[in-house]
Amino acid sequence: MPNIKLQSSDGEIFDTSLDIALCSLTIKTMIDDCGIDEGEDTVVPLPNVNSTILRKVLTWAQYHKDDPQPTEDDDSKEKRTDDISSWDADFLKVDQGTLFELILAANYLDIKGLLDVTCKTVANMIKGKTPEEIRKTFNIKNDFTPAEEEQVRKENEWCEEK
Amino acid sequence: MEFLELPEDVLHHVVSFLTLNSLKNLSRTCKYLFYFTESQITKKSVIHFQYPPYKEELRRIEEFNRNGYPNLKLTEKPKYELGTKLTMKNVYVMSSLSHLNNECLEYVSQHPKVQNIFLCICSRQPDDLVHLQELVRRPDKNYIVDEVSLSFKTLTDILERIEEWVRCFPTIRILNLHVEKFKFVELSKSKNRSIRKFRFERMKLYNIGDIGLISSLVNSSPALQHIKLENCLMEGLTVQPQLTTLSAKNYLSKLIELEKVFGNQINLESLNMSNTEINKNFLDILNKNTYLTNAKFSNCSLALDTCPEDFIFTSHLTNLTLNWSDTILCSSWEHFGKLEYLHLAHSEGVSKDQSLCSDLPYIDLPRLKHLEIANDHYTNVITKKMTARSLNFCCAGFNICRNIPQTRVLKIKDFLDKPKSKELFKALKEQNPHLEELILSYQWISLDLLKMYLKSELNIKTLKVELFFWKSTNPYATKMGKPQIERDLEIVLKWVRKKGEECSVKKKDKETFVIYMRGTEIVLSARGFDFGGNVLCFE
Repeated sequence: MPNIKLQSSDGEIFDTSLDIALCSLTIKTMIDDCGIDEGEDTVVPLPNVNSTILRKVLTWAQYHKDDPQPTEDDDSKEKRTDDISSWDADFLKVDQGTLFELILAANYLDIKGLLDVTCKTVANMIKGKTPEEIRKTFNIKNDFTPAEEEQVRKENEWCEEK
Repeated sequence: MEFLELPEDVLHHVVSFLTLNSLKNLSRTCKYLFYFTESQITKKSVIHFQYPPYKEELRRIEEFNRNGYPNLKLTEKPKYELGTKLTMKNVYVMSSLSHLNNECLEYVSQHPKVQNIFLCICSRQPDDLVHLQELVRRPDKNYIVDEVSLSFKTLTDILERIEEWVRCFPTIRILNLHVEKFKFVELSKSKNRSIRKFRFERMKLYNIGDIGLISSLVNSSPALQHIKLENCLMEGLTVQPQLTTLSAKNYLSKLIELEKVFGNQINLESLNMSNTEINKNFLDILNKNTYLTNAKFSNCSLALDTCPEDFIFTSHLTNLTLNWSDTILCSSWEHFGKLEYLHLAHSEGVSKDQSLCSDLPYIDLPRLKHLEIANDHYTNVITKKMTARSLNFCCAGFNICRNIPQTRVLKIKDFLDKPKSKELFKALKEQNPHLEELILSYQWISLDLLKMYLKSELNIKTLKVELFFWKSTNPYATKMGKPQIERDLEIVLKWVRKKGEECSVKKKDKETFVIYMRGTEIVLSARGFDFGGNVLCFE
């Protein structure tokens, strides 16, 4: 498989195998639309991803390049968050800022597998926590008055799981 | 980069992975997330009510409708007056197949906004499957068989029948299985059968004594997240799927090794156990479940191997209900620090072993918001041994007078003794003079109560007197009945009106009168039900 050059927002060039780059539907579309031929020395600019994050994305894509294509989300199905592989879990042991940057990059580059696993990681940071603990985790300021807080608690009290 | 700076589409993707409980907690963190999570909460929840609908339920449905919530679950045959309020996209119809007929489905489906009709079906007869296939062979709406409750007389051919249902309706997500008579099948005769993979996400199994059958169903459902095992054999079972909710009631053997059955679990969020002994190994497993925040134990005790030195009670709990589980209450008391909700539910007069509780250490429960103590004998011990500075609501018996916590709302339930009102007001004045709301669950309307309140010079914002009739033998509810309530009410109202300008009376609705008096809103409400389920109200 030929290589392709990707340029991060801070100008660094990443020379990577085309099959890894094609994990990203955004890159795939760019290549298709621009008619870049194999072997051509074209650089694909990625103005929304810096070099640190792009390096991580490519590491993830390299590891997962042989994974089957993810299927479309079925809204009616309950989504699980306990199926993160141990490699992914280790890979995502990063600070919150990096994790959010990775989510943004996965979203921009349209890499469903990476977007899912990063979002699941954030969901797991929310699961089992009280509102106060969630606030602490994500540095969220409580802008409810005590009365509003009580009202909000009551609001969804009676909802039952489907 | 911060969590709240994530773009909306990304944030939507994150919250789509959350369970309803986590979503509710996220919605309570700040205003932005409250509005943001609304649609997801809507999507993941349903309103569920019984037939015939009572007024309160109708009010809820209206509210539900007004807020645009799309899911409504009807139990039993939908009624016409209720049906007129149907404008939801998704309607859940929960019915036994003998009730479910063309007329009923036509009625629901004729509403233009209804797109999907989720059917939650109860079946007792083998012919039901064919009947249902005929019913949903109508092209105008999307019928989705979501839940089936199957009843069987014996254990014979159950698996084959379930496979047939799943073959005809692959959308089935929820399976409830009920066997009429428990029959024990020896492990050696019980076989794990090689069967197809099911897509069940929820399962309730009742009265099943065949471990092979249970194991085949449970372990062939990799997506299973919620399970309720009631009166089921468990010896020899190992639950493989990762569960979120586990409810296991009425074991046949108290000495079952729970750690073998549920040893694989690490993602539990909610646990409901009854009639069992919790040993150290099982507690270790529970402690590995770092999302486990809700637990209920009924008739449970701690095994002797859970010695105090290395004893760790499930450390992540925020909501706990204990019912006849005194050893858990007493041994775990010091581990309750994270609790937000505590309900000591057994309401009998005398506990099994009250002495257990007498030497509880003092504990700080900084997050506790809701405390309910059903057993009045416990009230004093519990409230004496705790401080709970975030307490918002406390419900207990009259014994609370000895140690009234600093709560915003206090409810005294089954407040039968009129003369005790004076004692209560005196205790409040001394111990919690800034109480905002006092709710007295009462069986009389009494002018004396009002007079005593005024005399106490308490300054409570709202005093609610809820008439509460909990059994038909209550003389006020039956023998004298409504005329007596109305006479007593009239006496109160006359007296208030006589007081002149400083007082006013407003009839809020059929069940409620509101009296404003010296800065206090006094709400008299008859929200009780008589034995026949009729709401008592003031005409």
